[in-house]
Amino acid sequence: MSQQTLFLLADLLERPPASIEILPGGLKEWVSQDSGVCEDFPFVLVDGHLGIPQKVLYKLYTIAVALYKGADKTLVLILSSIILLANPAHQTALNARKILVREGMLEPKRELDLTSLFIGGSKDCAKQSIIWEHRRWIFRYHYKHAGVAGIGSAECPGWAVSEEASLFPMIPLDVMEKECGLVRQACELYPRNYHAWTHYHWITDAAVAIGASCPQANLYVGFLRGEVVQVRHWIDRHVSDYSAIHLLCNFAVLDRAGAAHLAESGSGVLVDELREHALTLVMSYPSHEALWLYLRASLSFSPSDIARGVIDTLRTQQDIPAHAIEKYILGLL
Amino acid sequence: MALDIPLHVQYIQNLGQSHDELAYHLTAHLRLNAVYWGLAALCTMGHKEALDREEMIQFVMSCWDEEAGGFGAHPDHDAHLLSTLSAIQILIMQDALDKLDIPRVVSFIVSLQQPSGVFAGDTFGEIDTRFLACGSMALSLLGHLDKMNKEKAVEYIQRCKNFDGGFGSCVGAESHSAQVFVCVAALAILDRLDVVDTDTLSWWLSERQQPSGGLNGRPQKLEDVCYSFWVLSALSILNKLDYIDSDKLTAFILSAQDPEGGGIADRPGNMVDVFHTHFGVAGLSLLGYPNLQDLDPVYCMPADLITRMGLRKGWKALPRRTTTI
Ligand SMILES: [Zn+2]
Repeated sequence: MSQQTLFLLADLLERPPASIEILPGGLKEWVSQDSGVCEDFPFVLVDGHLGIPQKVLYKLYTIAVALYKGADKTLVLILSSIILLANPAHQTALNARKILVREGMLEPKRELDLTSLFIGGSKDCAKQSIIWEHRRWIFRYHYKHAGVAGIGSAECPGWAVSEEASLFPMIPLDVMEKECGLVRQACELYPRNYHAWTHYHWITDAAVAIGASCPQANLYVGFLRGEVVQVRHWIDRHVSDYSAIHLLCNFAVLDRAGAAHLAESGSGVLVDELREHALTLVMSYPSHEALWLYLRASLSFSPSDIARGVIDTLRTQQDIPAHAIEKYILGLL
Repeated sequence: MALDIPLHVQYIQNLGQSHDELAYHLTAHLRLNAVYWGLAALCTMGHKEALDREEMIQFVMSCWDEEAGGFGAHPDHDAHLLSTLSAIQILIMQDALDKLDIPRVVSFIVSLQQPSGVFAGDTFGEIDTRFLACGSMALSLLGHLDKMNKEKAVEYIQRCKNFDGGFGSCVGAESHSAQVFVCVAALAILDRLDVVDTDTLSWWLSERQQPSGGLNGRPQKLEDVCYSFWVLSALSILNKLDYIDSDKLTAFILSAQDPEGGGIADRPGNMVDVFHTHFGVAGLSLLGYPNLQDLDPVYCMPADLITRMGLRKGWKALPRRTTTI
């Protein structure tokens, strides 16, 4: 393994490939004996999809770390990309790239593309808080501050107040949509991905604040409604994902506070839809703690007579254990 | 299985000598934190002297970032609040605070508090309730808590409180046991535990205990030894340690020991590391496991030291037992 290989990988990442994948083990396991040495050795490039053997990547990491000290800016740009792919928690390498962005040596758009490539192809990247924060930093750097008021308050907890909302970047709606898609991709790759879902909240928080103070408010509300539907479908397919449930309940808070009308029916109240959704799921999968907490949260946002009605319904169901109703729901009333 | 203290002490001693190049470089961004975990674990096991004091202080000081006025995790790494707190904790445990330029480091920490009350980890601005707790802890340990805006900090934590009683990494984020610890510890330091919805939170924390006895960090996640500390410390600060089955948790932590090489893993059978060794031993100390020293759950440092500094809050651990049964 040599510096040459390191530059080859940096070059392949620059192209950029359609996707990347970190392949467990070394190259041996991935290339048949008789295929000979291809030009991208020791990497596997098929139809624009780049496979990087883990062992090769780690070897290049140690080379990159050794070359890093005293490297000029052009070299830092190359080395830091390899360092971050192998070790996405390397704060100092991320800082160096932010400085390169500031100095105009690295285009913000390219950096967003590279980090989304990393997030889509490496579990370790997909779950790192500072990789997501790096994207937020780039967004804040690249787009001007929204300068808008926040909707967060005691009645609408969990959402940005003005001193935070004013600093949200004016990210175009189509970019926000793509970003939410990237979060879902990261959550498929690394399930219950805390920092990816927290990033998702940031995007929707920005959309709420910007939408509330701009002439195209209906476009933003439309985007948020679409996201509510997507998260509901996500929960149908990932019934133990309390992270997604938490975000959906945050949307209910927003709807209840009148900050954005997010019910699928248009005229209704979101919490009514979520309560029905949670009840249906609990009855289908009564062993899932996440779903009980979903029902608990949606009942806590509901009038108490409705909540009592739901409990009565549950009690008539044979498959629903009484201790679960007691544990998760009764303490609430 | 009992806690094999001599073996774990040896495991931590060997860490400093191992020269596995890749593993060393891959964890360089956590080096100073790792030194703190190792030292704190040794203190809890009553073997503080097992690592060389001078060498340790020298390493800490080699991580000083002169430009920023804080500590990086490794020489040549950028200053960050996480590593700065580790440095302060180590210097205090080693009684070497005279090495520190306190006014400079205090101004670095204070500069990271945001208008909303939360702290950023460094000048690039990542915010997290972890950093708010690190900032409060560090300033409190240095006797400069009055330099931060305490009201705003409490207000921010209050805004992070979720409908399940827990706290997340920022406003709107999901409850997470480790974030619960940092928020509860910060509130204890700021003397504002009244913000906590104690009944709901203690219930949510007790629900983290799984049939194996181990604790998880969030609903339907796997149990993990490090959550022994995150969950227990919060419960201990709230005086609710009786909410969990301590015998089953003790057995779970002990079963994650490596009986040959020493150290504790996240789960039985996995690779050990110094992080889980420290938090496993810390959990056992709060559970009253015999022959361990008392650990202060707020600062995650030796309790007698925190008491001597006049910083002890009203937490309660389980009484120290004299036998393992
Ligand atoms: Zn862990």
